[in-house]
Amino acid sequence: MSEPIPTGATAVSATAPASATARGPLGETLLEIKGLQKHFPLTQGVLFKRTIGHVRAVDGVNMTLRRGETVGLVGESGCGKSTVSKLLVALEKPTGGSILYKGKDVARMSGRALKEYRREVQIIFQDPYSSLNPRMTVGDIVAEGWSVHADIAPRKNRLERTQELLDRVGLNPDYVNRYPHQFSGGQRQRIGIARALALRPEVIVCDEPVSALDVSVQAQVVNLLEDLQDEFGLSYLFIAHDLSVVRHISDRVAVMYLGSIVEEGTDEQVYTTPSHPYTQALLSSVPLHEPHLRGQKDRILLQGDVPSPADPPSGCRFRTRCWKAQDICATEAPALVDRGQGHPAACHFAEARAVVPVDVD
Amino acid sequence: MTQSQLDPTPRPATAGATLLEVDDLHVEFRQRSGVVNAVNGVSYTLAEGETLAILGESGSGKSVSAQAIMGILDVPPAVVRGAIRFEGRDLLQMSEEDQRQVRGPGISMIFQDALSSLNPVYSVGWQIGEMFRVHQGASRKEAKQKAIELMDRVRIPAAAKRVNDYPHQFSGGMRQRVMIAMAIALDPRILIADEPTTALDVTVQAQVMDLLKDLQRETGMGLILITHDLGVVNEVADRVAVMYAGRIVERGTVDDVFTDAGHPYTEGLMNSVPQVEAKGGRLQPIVGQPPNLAAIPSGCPFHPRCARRRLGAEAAPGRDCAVDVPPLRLVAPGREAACHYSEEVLGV
Amino acid sequence: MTDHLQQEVRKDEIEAGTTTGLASPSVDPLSARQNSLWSDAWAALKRNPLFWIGSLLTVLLVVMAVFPQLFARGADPRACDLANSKARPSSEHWFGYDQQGCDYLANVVYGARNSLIIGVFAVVVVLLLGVVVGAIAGYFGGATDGILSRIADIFYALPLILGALVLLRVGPQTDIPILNSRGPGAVALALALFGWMTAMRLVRSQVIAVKSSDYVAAARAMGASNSRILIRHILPNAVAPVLVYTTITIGVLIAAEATLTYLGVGLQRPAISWGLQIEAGQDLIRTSPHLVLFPSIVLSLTVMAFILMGDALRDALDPRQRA
Repeated sequence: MSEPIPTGATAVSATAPASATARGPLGETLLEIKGLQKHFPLTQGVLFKRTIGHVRAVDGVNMTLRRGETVGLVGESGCGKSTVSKLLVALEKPTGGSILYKGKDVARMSGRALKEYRREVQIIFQDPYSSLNPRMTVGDIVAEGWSVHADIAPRKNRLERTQELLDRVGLNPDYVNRYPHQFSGGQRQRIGIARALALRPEVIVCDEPVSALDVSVQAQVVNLLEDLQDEFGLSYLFIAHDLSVVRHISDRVAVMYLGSIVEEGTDEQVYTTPSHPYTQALLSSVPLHEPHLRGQKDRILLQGDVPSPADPPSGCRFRTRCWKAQDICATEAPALVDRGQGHPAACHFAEARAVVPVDVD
Repeated sequence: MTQSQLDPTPRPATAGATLLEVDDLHVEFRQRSGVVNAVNGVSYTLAEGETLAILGESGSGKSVSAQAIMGILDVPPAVVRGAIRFEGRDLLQMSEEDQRQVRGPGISMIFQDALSSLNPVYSVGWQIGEMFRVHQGASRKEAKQKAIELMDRVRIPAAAKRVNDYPHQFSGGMRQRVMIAMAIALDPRILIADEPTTALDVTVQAQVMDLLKDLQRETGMGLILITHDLGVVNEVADRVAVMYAGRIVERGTVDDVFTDAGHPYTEGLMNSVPQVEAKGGRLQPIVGQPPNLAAIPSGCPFHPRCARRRLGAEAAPGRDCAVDVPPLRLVAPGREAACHYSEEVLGV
Repeated sequence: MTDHLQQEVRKDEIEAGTTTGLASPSVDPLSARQNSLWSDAWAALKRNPLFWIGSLLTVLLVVMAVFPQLFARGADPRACDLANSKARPSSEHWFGYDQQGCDYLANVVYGARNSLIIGVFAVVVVLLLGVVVGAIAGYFGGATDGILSRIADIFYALPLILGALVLLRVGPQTDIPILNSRGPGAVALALALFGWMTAMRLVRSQVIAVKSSDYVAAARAMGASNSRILIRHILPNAVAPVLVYTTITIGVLIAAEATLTYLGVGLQRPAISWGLQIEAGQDLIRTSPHLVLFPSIVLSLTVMAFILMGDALRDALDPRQRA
């Protein structure tokens, strides 16, 4: 991989973000999320709406994202992980807490600063069918960011740059005049990636980017994301419910349950020594691919359903389904701290327990 | 290491009587733009108490073949050929009325999307009870009682209280249980589950798969599990048929196929999926996209994406991957694969 | 693996799929041009024969409205002879005569101007009001939507004809430019002001549906302005139903003019319009059916011309419909 790309090297650098070293040191904190909350009001009435409660979709999330790393955010449907992604790209305003980008509070940004933030933090969506405007050509879709942020690419060479981008994400550059419906799901997801890349972002929020793709195509897109990260020094917040994909791509992993993070650590820590009962249950439910590992894992079957985020349990959110729950769990919400397992878990009775058998070969 | 040491829970060899034989099934859709060949000569059997997984991606024909068995394809535009023998009788040779008589109590099916399969304006108990009112002429009271029993059987908590609730009041996992309750109401001999857990979270998926296995153990029904999830196949199924472009490309026990794939497509699938057990290195994807069923490639349908293909002069006579269609053949004891060079893939 | 090789592999990964994975594999490798929705739509329109039939008819009708003498075969619509009252069509007088004994072909031809002004002007106003109000209500939602939708509801509560009647009665006493003229412009405006609500509802519901799609979220996340999102993303995906609705409405509006005349507030004789002719002919339909038949046929042709063009435009604006 040490050789320069013989063709198109200059072309790529013209459109692409500057190399990682030119932008700042790897490991520098880009995003810092502190006590992030998003409560959606539940309303009744047509003309005169009155609030009858709140859905606590995100309720106290802390997280950091450093340059060049991938943080995986896993959780089941309804845990609030998609709301986190919308908050991060400023599609929603937080109810409480803050998102600091390079030290500045996003909620207080306005005008120029917010526009610049939106350029630097991009998003890739789950559904490749609804995330592309069916009435725009692929070229228009990829180049749209340049109409909004005219300083990135001069008007003159935009078509050429669009074609370079398509080439970079693995699509035929001659497809600029085609429409989204003429592409397969995997190809559409590449168009969505090219659209995000066009703005030369620092951070890309990937909201379930491969969940809607065929198994054999998922790996292509995961590989592409990894390549682009190496090449441009991108940082990813990778949101998914697929624990295997998250483990593969992430440097650090955060597990979310009912609006807050219950466990956080490197992929190794979270997957081999999960310490929160929910993480353990989640990991033990993932079906394994190796026949010889079948039946070797500790199956933890959770009882009941996830409580409604409009009326979450007091104290620990997970206590209603937890086999370790005691009185303290109902009164005191456990902090997300390291209780001797080497990484933080939000459980009063945190205890490392391996639930995924290690593949010996 | 021998096989028995490798596998701590050896699957019982299926000893039950054959329930279903699908023989050279073809399904095509005649459309204005051309003919879409959704299923191209699929054959398999299912025995009592056995779980057969049909593994494939979207457009592989895995769901359409099941819909043909259930007789829920619109004919036309669909054209179904071949034989589907249920307990020895060919469904495709019967009148529609006879088919309904056989299928109703004999074969039932559950779908991926439980919410859209349930009618939102009737209570769940009423919809489960309908099976008894329609097929067994039960009274409303009896039907409701049986509905409660069934909801208990599929482990819906507080069944007697929830019998009058409506579908939107249930969670995704509970709705899928309601669907299962309706499907097993008439004690079918065969249950076809089409991506039953794809819309569900992993923790709920585990519960639903457990439930299906328990019900199978109780009733001895045959289970056809249609899925794209390799993990689910490994954990639940006895045998697996891998489908690609409307054909079965590989068939065998799950242990055999998952331990050492005999078709390059199966091999590619295994290598392209990350595993939860290990971080793993760079993924090895299968190149390209699954084919359009209106224009299936010549020869082996997988050859444009195959890393092991042999074309022209490289190929053995009569085994050019772009020209000759590989038949599904025995490549090792108990193993069938539709690849000219399967022995190389297996490494024997 | 070198980067170059890796790039080649990446290409292969995709190319393997291109022959079959795409709906239409014909690539135009030499095009160094960036097409847009509008340029592609125009190209598609040009290839659509129905669009040409519709436009040809429209051009014909417009020429008829501007230069009626070209089509009247030398007859004067106001030169009447009661002796010819209600005479049947003949080789000399193709459409026959009306009750006053005027040449009916000339009358129908001269009626085109008023009727087209009313129909086209009213539809344009309906379309404008419907799209603008509907888009604003649907896009901004909340209180804006609440107020605009309630205003539309109030207009719904007033019957079209009653509202127009009141407006046209009051109009001449005011000094609002078009409304005080009693001409076709006033009639068109009156009809449009009480007939835009369905168009607004259609646009509003479409905008609400499109607004929640991920591509709108993506545009917003990249910092696009509201007007950009509305014009580039939402409206092109929301106008199809309202286009179809308004092209059908044009006939209804042209005919509605006759009702207003009947109530004494629309066009008044000696003004000539299809609406007036159909209205007058209705009483005589048993004895002289041709008095209703001919203006109705021309009215239907007009409606058809607009429907053909509207359908062609809708299909052209939908890339999935293009062959």
